[in-house]
Amino acid sequence: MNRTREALVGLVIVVAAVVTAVGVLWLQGATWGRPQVEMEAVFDEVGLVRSGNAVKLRGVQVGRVREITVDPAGDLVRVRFRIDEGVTLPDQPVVVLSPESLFGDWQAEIHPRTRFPRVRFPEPREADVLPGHALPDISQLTAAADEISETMLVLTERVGIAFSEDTAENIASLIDNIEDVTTQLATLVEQQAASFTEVTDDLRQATQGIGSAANQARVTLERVDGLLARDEVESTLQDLAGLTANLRGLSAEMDGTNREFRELAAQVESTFAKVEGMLEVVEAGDGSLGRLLHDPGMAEEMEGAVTELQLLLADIRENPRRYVRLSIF
Amino acid sequence: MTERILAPFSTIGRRAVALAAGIGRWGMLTAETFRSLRHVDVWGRLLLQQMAKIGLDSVPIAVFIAIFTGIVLSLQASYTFTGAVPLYFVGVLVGKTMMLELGPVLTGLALSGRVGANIAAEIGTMRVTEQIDALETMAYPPVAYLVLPRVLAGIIMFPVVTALAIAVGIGSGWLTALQLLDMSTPEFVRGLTLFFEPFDVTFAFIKATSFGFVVTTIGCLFGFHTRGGAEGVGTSTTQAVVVSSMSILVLDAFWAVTLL
Repeated sequence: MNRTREALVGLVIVVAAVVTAVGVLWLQGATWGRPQVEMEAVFDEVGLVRSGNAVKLRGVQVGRVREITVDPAGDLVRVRFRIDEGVTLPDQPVVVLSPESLFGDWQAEIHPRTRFPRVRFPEPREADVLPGHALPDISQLTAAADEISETMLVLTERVGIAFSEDTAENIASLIDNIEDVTTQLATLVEQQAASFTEVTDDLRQATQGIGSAANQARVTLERVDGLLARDEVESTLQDLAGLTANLRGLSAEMDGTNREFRELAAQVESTFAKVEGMLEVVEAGDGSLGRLLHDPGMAEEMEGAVTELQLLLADIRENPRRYVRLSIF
Repeated sequence: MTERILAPFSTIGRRAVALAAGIGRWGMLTAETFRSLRHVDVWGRLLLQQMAKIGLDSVPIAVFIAIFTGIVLSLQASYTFTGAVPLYFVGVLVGKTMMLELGPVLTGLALSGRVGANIAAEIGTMRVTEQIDALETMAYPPVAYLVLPRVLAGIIMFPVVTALAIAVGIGSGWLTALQLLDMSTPEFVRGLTLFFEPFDVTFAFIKATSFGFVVTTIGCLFGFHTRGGAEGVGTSTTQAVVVSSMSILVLDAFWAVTLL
């Protein structure tokens, strides 16, 4: 075999190797010496992002995803990516993973955190690691829509079951009833409107009365103001103070009187006790009075004595000098 | 009557035995081939010659097939995607299809026709003209001399030719997209890089290597067991092409099931 043919074999092999190597590097997104910095972000989950997906800032590709690993703790996913050196990140940067199109290609976008106020980002333990969040992909949205459609289907079926012919008739009769009720309500409203008119008139009259009373009150207050202005109230207050002092003295006297009254009551009580004892003696027929009550002869004698005493008193009134003689000196 | 009933079963049994015997002969030849690796002085000086014959001479046909495959893929992809899928998916389809399927398989099939037939005819002719018997008589290892250089050349050069075919196919698809589909280069490249995995290339090389091994060993097998004269050589050549092509398709499915 000549040397040219040998060289051609070698050339074909080298060309194939170079084409393969360069092609793989190019398709993997090699930067060919362009300076880049490596960064890392943590996520709860990463959706369909893969190594090689674009990293974008404000819609412009600035790098590529390099590596996706599950955190050793198992609760986070760590995504390492490279972006062009010199790219200025926004304040409080976060990485949001989202579908780039409807066909399964995803991207990592760097945004300020303030753009997603409702998203709960995982907090990385390291200071230089960015928090990240993966938006739901079309399949998750489709699943949610499917769930909603199933719920709607169940709801529709239930409505179909509930809205039978009987239900329709019931609804029709209900509408008739509502019409009757509405008519009655209209009548009632008309009646109430008339009553309301009367009440309103009364109220207007009452308002007018209140107005005149207020005028009178105003006049009275003006007079009171006048009285206050003339110092008559002060003298009245002084009189009231004197009256109060008198009342206080009277109250003190009443206290003494009360005390005396209590003593008198005690005396009366003992007197009643004595009288009760006397009455018991009298009821027993003992003593003069008892005998008087129980002995008819004695009563007659007593009546005679009373008669005589009355005659004596009459004589005394007629002839007082016969019995009484007054001498001062 | 009994013979009529038994005839189909006899045919099936005979073919099954022949298939098993063929697989057995292929296994024995393969084992002998690997055993012959020790005869470096025999196969070493022939390897480059076979690499040129199997690989270098096959590049034009492989590139030719790849060019038109890329064009057709690009056009059919745009025809399929119009109105429904963005056109940058033409890049996805061209890249993925060329790397995973059409690059290795079409190259393998083309080379099975060219290389497999050539090997079978060459060795078959040597068999029917008793040149192989002469080698054995001189205690010259025929497998190390005739089989191993071809098998090694096939294993080495099939991936090389496949890599070139893939690159050319993607390139022709790219040019077609630019010229005929009004696509821009960034659009096509976006699709090309969108779902690219380095494993795609590895997968293509695994397939190409296995195709190279199968095509060359089957060509050598049928050539080695050629009987009769020129007609036997022709039969062996045809059988080698048919069996190696079928083996390529079976292997293609096997690797897809196994590796994807």
